[in-house]
Amino acid sequence: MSSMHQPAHPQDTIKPLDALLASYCVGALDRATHALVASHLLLNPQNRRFVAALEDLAAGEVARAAPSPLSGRDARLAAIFASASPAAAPAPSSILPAPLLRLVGSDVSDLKWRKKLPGVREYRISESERGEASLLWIGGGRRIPSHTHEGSEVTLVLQGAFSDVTGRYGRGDIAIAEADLDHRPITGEGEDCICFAVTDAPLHLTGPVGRILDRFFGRAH
Amino acid sequence: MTPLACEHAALMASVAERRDRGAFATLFDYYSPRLNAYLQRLGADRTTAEEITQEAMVTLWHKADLFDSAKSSLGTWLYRVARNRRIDIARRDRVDYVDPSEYALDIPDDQIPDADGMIDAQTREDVLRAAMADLPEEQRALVRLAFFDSLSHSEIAARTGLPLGTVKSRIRLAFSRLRRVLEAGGVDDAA
Repeated sequence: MSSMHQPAHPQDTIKPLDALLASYCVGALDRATHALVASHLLLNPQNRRFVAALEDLAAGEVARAAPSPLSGRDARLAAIFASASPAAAPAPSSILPAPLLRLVGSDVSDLKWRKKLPGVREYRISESERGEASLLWIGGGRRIPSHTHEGSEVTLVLQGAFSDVTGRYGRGDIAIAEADLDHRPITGEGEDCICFAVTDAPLHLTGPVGRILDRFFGRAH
Repeated sequence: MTPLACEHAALMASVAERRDRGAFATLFDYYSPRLNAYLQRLGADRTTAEEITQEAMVTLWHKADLFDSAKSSLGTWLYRVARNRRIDIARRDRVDYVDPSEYALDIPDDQIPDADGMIDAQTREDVLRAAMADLPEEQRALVRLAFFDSLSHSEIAARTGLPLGTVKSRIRLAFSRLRRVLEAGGVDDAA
């Protein structure tokens, strides 16, 4: 497929994204990462076919399951026929696709952003011992201090673009940074970059400046 | 399309166009016991499984007009609704329901790459099953847990005692390979 703008990995045959998509298909992701992948599929067509094939396969498992009828079938049918039509979902904003808008609760312009680093604002959506989900708003042409992660970090670009050693990512692209990847992403010139990032453990800034910043920002909690 | 998928698509059209309760009841009787069983197999307790199934059926009744048989089978459409609802319920997020239009359930044909070359769903499923059977045993066992049992990579590491890194790298190898087989299969079929 010539339209693939997947970054060229050294071993380009193994794409961590394929396994992430498979986990999405079967509902094995946490809510934030599930919304991230659903948004990717809405914004970027390149993985839809693979996902649709895996979903057909998973749905085939449902068809194969030995039926276990619901209790109170007639009452359930009556309840369905009597139910009101659910309200329509809010229209997606120009930045946030519907699954992310639902997760975040309001559009980017209505959020209380907090300064995280010079030129970097953050809106933290959720945090647990297993990791955190945040929106990041980074000025154009900025280099994020070098950092590594305890776990992996999955990032969806919503506006603008950024690049690191693994490639260049624009709106709708997913970047996966492994625990051992020490990267210094740089945002594209001319346009602020808005990303949605989910980490499965807190990130650690590396490098002399990073270590100092880390003490103030990265590990304050 | 299989004869069953055709029949279900026709019933769904009746529900969408005429609010046909009899057609809906037939679909309910086919899908709800299977979804319920599948959800329990994934670890949901009986009450939760029944609740998710019922909510998926409510969506089916009210949003029947969003279903397009040219874009997916009803089984897959309903599967996506139930899967998304299961994730919400796990987080105790009770205020919303899954609106099928929020997810990529309804993808315009012209946005699917190589739409002309698409092999049908049944063939794709067969290609994938065959490719899974062909995986080395160490990968196949993990793919079973990740895909058919819907476990997270951490859960698989805990269950098998393998390091998380090993679990991730084997599963990645496996799914990248499945994707290559699928894409190669698609090309052959379209030729």
